[in-house]
Amino acid sequence: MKTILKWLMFSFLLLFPVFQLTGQEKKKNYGNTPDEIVPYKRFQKAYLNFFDTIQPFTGPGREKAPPANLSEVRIGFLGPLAGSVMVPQGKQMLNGAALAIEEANKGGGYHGIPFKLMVHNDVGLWGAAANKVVEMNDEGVWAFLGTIDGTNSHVALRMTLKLEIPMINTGDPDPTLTETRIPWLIRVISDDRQSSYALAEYIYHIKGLSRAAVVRVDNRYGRVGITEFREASLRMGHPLVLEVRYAEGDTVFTKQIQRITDASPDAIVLWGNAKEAGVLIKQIRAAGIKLPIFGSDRLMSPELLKIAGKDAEGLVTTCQYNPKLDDPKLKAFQKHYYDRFGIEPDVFAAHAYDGMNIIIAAIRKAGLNRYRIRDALTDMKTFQGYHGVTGKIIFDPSWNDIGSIWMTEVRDGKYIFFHSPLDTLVVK
Amino acid sequence: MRFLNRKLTKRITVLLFTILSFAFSGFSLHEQDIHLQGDRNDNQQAQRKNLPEGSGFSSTNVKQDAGEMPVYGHWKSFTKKDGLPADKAFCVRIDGDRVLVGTSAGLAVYEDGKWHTYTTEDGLAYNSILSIDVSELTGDVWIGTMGGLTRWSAGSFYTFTQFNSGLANDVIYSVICDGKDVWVATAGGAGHYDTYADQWEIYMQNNAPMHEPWTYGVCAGGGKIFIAAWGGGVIEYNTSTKKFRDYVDPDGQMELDVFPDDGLVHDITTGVSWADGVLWVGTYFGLSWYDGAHWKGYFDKDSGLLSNFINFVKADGQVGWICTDKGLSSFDGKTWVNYQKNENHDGGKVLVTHGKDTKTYPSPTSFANNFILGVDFQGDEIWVATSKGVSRGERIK
Amino acid sequence: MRKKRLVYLGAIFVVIGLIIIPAHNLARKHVNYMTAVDDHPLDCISCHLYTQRDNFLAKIVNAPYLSPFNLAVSPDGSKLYVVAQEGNALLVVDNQSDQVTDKIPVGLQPHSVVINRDGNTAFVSNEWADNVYEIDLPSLKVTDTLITGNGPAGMVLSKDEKFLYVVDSYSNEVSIIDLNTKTEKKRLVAGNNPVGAALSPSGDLVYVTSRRILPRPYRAPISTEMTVIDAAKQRVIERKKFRDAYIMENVTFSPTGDLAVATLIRPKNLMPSIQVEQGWMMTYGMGIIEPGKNGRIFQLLTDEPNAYYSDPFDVVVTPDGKKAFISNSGVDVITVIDLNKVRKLLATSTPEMLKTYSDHLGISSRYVLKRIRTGANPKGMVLSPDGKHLYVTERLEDKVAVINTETLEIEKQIDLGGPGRVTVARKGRRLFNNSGHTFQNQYGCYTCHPDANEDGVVYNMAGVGMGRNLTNTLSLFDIGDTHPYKWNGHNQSVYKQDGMRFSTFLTRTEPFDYDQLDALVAYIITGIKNPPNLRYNPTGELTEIQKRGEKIFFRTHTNFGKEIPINNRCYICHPPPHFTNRKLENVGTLAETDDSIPFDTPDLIDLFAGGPYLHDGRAATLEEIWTKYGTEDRHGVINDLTKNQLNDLIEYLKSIRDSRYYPKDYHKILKELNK
Repeated sequence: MKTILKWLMFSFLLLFPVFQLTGQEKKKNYGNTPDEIVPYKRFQKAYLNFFDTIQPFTGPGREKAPPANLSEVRIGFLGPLAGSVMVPQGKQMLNGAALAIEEANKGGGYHGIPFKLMVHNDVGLWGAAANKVVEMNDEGVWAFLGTIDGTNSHVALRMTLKLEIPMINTGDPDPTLTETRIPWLIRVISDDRQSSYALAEYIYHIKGLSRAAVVRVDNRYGRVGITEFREASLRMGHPLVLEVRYAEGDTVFTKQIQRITDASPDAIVLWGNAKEAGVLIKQIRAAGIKLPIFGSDRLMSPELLKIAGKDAEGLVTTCQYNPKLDDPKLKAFQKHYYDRFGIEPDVFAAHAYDGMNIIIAAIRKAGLNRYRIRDALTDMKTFQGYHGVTGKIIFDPSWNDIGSIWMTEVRDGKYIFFHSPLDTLVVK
Repeated sequence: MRFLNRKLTKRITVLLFTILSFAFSGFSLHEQDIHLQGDRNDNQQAQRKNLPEGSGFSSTNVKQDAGEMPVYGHWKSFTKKDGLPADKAFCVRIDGDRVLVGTSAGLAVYEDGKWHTYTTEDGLAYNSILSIDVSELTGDVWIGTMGGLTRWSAGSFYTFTQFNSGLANDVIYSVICDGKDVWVATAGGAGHYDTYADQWEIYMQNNAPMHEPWTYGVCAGGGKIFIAAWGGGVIEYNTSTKKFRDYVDPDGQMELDVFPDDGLVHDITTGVSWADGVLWVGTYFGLSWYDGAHWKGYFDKDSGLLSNFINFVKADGQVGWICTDKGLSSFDGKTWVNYQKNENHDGGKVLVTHGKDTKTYPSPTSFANNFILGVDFQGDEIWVATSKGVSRGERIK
Repeated sequence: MRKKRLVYLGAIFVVIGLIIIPAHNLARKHVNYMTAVDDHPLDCISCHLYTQRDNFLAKIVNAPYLSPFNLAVSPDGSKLYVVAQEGNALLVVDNQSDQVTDKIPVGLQPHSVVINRDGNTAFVSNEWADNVYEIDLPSLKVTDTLITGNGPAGMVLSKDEKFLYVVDSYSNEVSIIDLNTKTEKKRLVAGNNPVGAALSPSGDLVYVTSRRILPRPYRAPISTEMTVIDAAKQRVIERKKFRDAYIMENVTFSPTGDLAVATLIRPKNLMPSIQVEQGWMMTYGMGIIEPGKNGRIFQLLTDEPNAYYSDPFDVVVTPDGKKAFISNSGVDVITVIDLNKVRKLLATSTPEMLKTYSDHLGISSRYVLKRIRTGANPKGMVLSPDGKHLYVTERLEDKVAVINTETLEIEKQIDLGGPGRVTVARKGRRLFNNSGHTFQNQYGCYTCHPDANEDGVVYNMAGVGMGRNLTNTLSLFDIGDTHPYKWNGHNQSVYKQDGMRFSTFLTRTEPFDYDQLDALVAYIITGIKNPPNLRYNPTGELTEIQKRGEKIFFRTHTNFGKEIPINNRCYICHPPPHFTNRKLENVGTLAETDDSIPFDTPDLIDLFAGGPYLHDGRAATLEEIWTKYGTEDRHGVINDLTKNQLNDLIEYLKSIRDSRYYPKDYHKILKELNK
C-alpha cells in the first residue's frame, strides 16, 4: 500500500509540469481578448458566453450523392470588381483566388475535373450581394469565397444558411461577421478585434499614450471596426477624447482637423480606406499637428504611401500578414503571383489564395457535397493550424481566424513589419 | 540483480505508462476545449432531455403531463417521393382547405390529398420560397422568394422585384399581410406595400433605427409591426403614429449575454411573432419573450428549449412555437412541450418540461427531420416545414 | 384733281400691298411650317380661334355637351336614367314622352348607373371623383356618397343588394361597398384598367372586364384579364385570360348563364403597320366564356373581310337569350348577333377550330344578323324589361336611340337636350372616335388612344424600315402646350402630326381634308383634359414621401455632395408646369433598332395613368426606367440614391398632375425650389 502511495506521489510530482502545461492552455478569452478588456469582467460574470462552443449544423444533406458527368467543379467568387473604391483590392483578391484555382487544375483538379471560378461583382444596386449568392446557387457552386465590404459580406452570409453553401471570407475584418453563428462560414483573415487590441496595447501600453482621437470613415468598415478599439480604450482606462467621421470620397478635412486640435489628444487613430487616409494625413501634418498617427489595416497600402508621401513617416498600422517573412511557401506564392499577374500580391490576394486553397482541399477531402465540404471546413481539425502563405491559421469556435496579426511602421517610405504586442499576451 | 532489474523495469514501465496516461488525458482534454465542446454540449443536452424516461407514448399520460398545452402526434410526412418538388421546405402556410409549402424548388400546394407544384414557369419570381402569407381580406397569396415577391391571386402570378417596384431587395425572408398592407423583411430593408395606394415605403438605416438594412422577419400585432433586424434587434413600428423604436440586447456584446431577462438575448434576430400581447423573438442564441413590459430570455441550458439555434417562431394564442435545428419546441410560459425525431427511425419523442423536470414520451411517429424551418396550424392540424420534407400532425385529444 | 385722287389711291394700294404681301408671305410661311404642307388655307380663325382654351372665346366657340355614356332603365320600363359624361349629371328620361324630366347633378365625369330592384335607388359612379353617388329616385336627391378606389366605372349590385361592386378603373381594383354601413368593405385586385362588370344570373359570380394588357415580357404576345369574383366569398377566384386581345369594355351574361359575352379588340401590334393596307391590322369581336368548371374561353370576330367594326363597347343579351347586341362605337353601328348560331358553332367546333375562328374574318357571316346604323359614337346600351326595345346612347349626338329588337330598326331617337349645334371641336371629336378614315374602317384615333389616353401597347409604325423605331403609344391628355410631337420630336404641331403623314403611315387612305384636320386639331388641343390625379395627389398637398421625392427631383447635388451637371438634373428637362422643356435630349436609351436621333422630352403629368414607359415602351414600370435601362446616369443622376430615395422620387413623379389642379402658390414653391 505504501509502495502504491509512494508511486502515486511520485507520479504526481512527475505530472506536475504536465498540469502546468495544460494550465497554460487554460480557456482563452473569446477572440483572444486580453484579460484586462474582457467585457463586464470586473462587474459581472456573463450568464452565457455564446462562442464557448461551436454551432453544429444539424440539418440533413450529407447523404446527397455527387452529381454525375460534371465537366467542371464550380467555386464562387464574390468581390468588388467594378464600381467601388475597393476595386483594386477586389482584383487582388480575385487574382489570389484564381492563382489557387490554376495551380489546383495543374495538379489534376478534382479527380481530373477542372475547378472553375464563377466570378461575381458584389457592387450593385441595393443588397446586390444577396442576389449574387442566389446566382451562384443557380450556377451550382460548391462553395464560394468573398468578400471585402462588411455589408456585402453579411448580406451574402445570410444567404448561405438558406442556400446551404459553404462560404470562406478572406477580406472582411468585421468582427460581427463570424458572430452570427451561421455554421456555413469560416474566416481566414484576422478581424478588427485583433487589430483593435493590437493597436490599443501598442498605443496605451507600449507607447504610453492615453488620449487617442479617432477619425474614421462613415461606413460600416469605420463604424464596426472602431467599436472594439473604442471599448478596449475605455476598459484600459483611456476613453477616446474624440471620435469624428468623414464621408467616403472626402478630400477636405478641415473640420475634422479643427476638432482634433480642439480635443488636445496625444495620439491620432485613423480608421478608413487608404485613399482618404493618405489625404487626411497630409492635411494633418500640413496643419502643423505632429502627433503620432496610428491606423487600421487598410492604411497599410502603397496607395497611402503614394498620396501621403513623407507625411506618412511614422505611421503605425496593423496588417493581417507579413509579406516580408522568410517563409518558402510565401516566397513561392509571391513569385508565382508576380509572374502570373505582374504585380506584387497584397493582403487580400494572399488571404484569398489561402482561402481558395482551403476550399479546394475541403472539396478534395469531402467530395462534391456541400454539407460534407462544410463539415471539413468547420470540423476544427482539418484546417486547424493550416499553414498558408499568410501564416498559421487558428480558428476559434466561431470559425474566426485568431492567428497572429502584424504591425507595421512607415520608415523611409516603406512599411516595416513587426510583431503585435498581442503575441506576447496570448498563447497562440 | 536480475530480479531487481526486472522489478525496476516493471516499475519504470508502470511509471512511464502512468505518466503517459495522465499526459495523454491532459492533452486530450485540452484539445476538447476547442474541438469537441460543441458535441459534448450536445450530448449533455441530449442526456438531460432524455431523463427521466416516461412510460411510453400514451396520449393520456402526455396530455395530462402537458396540461393546457396542445400536444400533437400521428405525424405523416411528405417528401419528394410523395409529390413535393423538393425535400427542403422553408415554410408552410395553411390557407383554408389547402396547405401552401415553400420549397427550394417551387411552391407546393396540398389540396384534396394531392400535391401541385408551381414554379417560375408558372410565373413565380423564383423557385426558392422563404415565406408565404395569405391576405385575409382578399385571399391573395403573397410569396416571398429569393428572387422577388410574388402575388398569387386566383391562379395568376405577379412579381414585384427591386427593379420593377419599390421593393427593397429581391431576397424576401419574411412576408405578412396586415389589412391592405403587405409587409416584407428583405436583405436590403424592410417595408410595406400599400395595396390600395399602390405605394411602397421601405425602411433602412437612413430612415429607421437600424444600423444596417438587413432584416429577417416581420410580424404584426397590437397596432404595431415588429421587424427582426439582423444585428439590430427588433424594430417596432407603430402603424398609428408611424414612429419607430428599437429593442436591442442591453449588454451590447455579440459574444455573451450578461443577464438573460434584461432584454433581447442577442441583436442577431431571426424571427418575430406576436399574439395575445406577447412578442416572441427567435435568435441563433436563444429565445426572447416580451409582454410589453418585461423581457425574458430562454436558453437550452436553463429551460426546455431544445436548441438556441432558432430558425423561426410562431405565436398561436398564448403558445409560442419555436422551430430549432434540433426539433420543435412549444411553450406557454409555464410548460414546454418539445418534439424530436429519432435519428434512426421514423419515430420520435415528446418531451414535457415543467421547471427543471423533464419527462420523455416515445412517439411512434414524428416529423420528417429535426431541422425545423416553419410551422402553421389550423383546427386540429399542425404542419411543419423541415429540411427534409413537410409533416402534418394531429392534435391529441 | 382726279389724277391726284388716282395717285393717292394708287399710293394706298401700294402701301397696302407692301403690308399685305409680306404679311401674306409671313403667314403662308407660318402656316406651311405649322402644317407641314404648302396649301393649307390661310384661315387664321381655324387655328387661332377654335384652339382657344379656358377663356371667354373658348366659351363662345365651344358648347356644353352632355355626352350620354351609359344608361339604365327603371324596373317598370317607364324611365331611362342616362349618365351624361360631359354634363356631369344623371338625366331622367320619361319613356312615354321621350322628354328629359330631371337632371340630377352628380360628380365629375360620371361613368355608369345601376338601379336597384325596387327602382327607388340609383348608384352613379363618378370616375373623376373617386366615389359613387347614392340617389333616392323618388325625391331625386343624392342621399349618400360612397367612397371607392380610383376611377370608379362599371358597377353591379349583389343579388341580395347588400353589396355594390364598383370597378376602380384607374387603380385596377374592385371596391366592395357594404350598402348597410355605406363603407368600402374591401378591395380586390382586378385586371389592368378594369371597367365593366356583370353579375351572373345565379348571383354567384361577378365578372369584371379590363381594357389594358397584363404584364408580360417585352414584345411578347399580349393577353387581357377577365376577373372572376366569387360573390359569396367576395374573393377573386379566377383570372381568365384572353390571349392576343385587349380593350374588353363590357361583359354580360345570357339569361340562363350558359354564356358570358364580352367585347374586345385583337390588335396585331407585333406586325409592322404596313399591314394596314392589307387589312386585318386591328380586328374586333367578342370574348365568350362558358362559365363553370372546364368552360371554354374563345373569341369570335364580328368583322367581315374588307370591313371592320371598330371599338365595340357595350354588349347586351335579350331576355330570351337569342340575340346579343354590340355597340361598335367606332363605326356608329349596332351589330346584332344570333346567339343560337354561336351556340351551334361552339357545339360543333374543336378547340383548334375555335382558335382559328378567333382570327377568321369570314366566320361572322354565320352569326351576325344585322348591322344597325346609329348616330355618332354609340356607347352604353340597355334593354327594356320586356326585351322589346334596345336603348343606345349616342354619345356624340347627345341622343338615345331606341331600337326595336324584333324588327332591328331604329324606332326613334330621344333628344337629351344638348346644345343642338356641332362645334368645330365636336366635329373633331367625332372624327377622333370614328374609324371611317382608315382603310376599311380598321381603327380610329380612339382605338389606340382609348379615352384619349394610351392603350399601353407598342407598335412598329413601319415608316422607313420595318422593325425599326418601335413606338410606345402616348397619352393625348392636354398636349396643346407640349409640342413638338412624336417620340423624336419631328412634328412641330398637331397639324403635322395628324396631317398628310398620318394618312401615309397610319390610315393608309385619303388624308383628312383641311376642315376635318382643323376640327381634329381643335378637339385634341381643347377637348382632352387631364384627369385629376386623385390616387396619388388628391388635394395638391404632397405627402411626406412625395415631398422627399420632390426634393430629389429638384436637387442640384448628389448624396455625396457632388454637383449634378445642369443638363442632367430632373427639373431642367422636365420643368413645371408641363414638366417638359419641349427640347430634344439623348438620355442613353436609344435601341439598336432606333435611328440615331435624340428624343422629344415627354411631359410628366399624370404619369400614373401611363405605362409602359420610355419611347419604345420597354420599361414596364417607372422604376425600370432607371433600374434596368437608365443605369449610366445619363437620364438624370440616380446611381447615388438609396432604394428608398428612388422610391421617394417615383412617388413624387406619380403625384405630378395637371397644373389646373395645383394650389395657387404651387408655382411659387417650385420657383423657390429651383433657386
